[in-house]
Amino acid sequence: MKTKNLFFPLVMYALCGTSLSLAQTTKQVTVNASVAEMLSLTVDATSVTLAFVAADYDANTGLATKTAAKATTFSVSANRAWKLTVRPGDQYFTFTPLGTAQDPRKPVSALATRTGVTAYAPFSGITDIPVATGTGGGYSKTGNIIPVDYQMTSALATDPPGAYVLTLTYTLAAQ
Amino acid sequence: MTRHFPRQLAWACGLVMAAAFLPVSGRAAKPALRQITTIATIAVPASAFDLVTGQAEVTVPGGIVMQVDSSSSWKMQVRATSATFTYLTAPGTGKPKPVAELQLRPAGGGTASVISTSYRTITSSSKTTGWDDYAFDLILQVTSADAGGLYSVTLEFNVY
Repeated sequence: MKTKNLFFPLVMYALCGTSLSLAQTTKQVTVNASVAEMLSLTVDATSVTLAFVAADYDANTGLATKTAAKATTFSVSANRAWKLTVRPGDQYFTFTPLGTAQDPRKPVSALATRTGVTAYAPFSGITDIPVATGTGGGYSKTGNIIPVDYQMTSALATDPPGAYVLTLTYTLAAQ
Repeated sequence: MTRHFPRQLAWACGLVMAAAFLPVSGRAAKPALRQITTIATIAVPASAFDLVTGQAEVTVPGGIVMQVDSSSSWKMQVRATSATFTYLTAPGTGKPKPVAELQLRPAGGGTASVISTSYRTITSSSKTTGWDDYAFDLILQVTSADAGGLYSVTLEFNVY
């Protein structure tokens, strides 16, 4: 009998207590951040001209060498390690004669590039030449601004007068 | 008299204990918290990066929404359950991204709080009118040291 009398008040407390226990004060939220891979390459000039004049040729050998220092400057911004390479679009220069000369099929090996004070590296067919490598960072990071020098050779014996054109493709890729 | 004492005592105890938790019209004296947002996503596109510095800052307005019900003044705190993000793309690789590069602020303005593993108060108010919404902006800073991929961290919210 006493047990029955106590039952209702205690049930009431139990119910109140149960409803209150649902009012939690701590919750967790998961934050997911999706960061894109970033590889950005810009160049300040898309055309480089090396103009050979008669005075450039050695009177004895008939050879001439022309350079264009820092003719193009590349800027890299990336959030991972990267490498910059360059590849000629063909094995030979495209030739537009000044007059009626035949295409001498001047090989791309007549053109070489370098960065900084390293030795010039001549092109060799349609293959990639490494230009520079680096790690994540913007333009302000040392090494992410890359000036490129060009050097071309010409020979009176093999290169008739005219315009020699070669397209170079620079590629920035993740390492 | 003696026969009724236990029942009266039980009623009194029950009412006192219930009243201690339900002082005003059935609402909890302690603030209660519930969440509308369980997963918040921050997308950092390549275009968000400053090409010169290699850094990015992305804000997700109202990225997290919580609800508070309180019959008295309350404060909300937040902390991260770990000191660094988990790099889900390749766990254990790369430079650990600190949670301090994540900030929270009341939606639309206010002071941003840098997230850490210690609780930081992010908002407070007087009693609510029921379950009131509280939205927060997420602000994430990304550097060029953060490889592309998916980063994750768990935030713990608390009201008192």
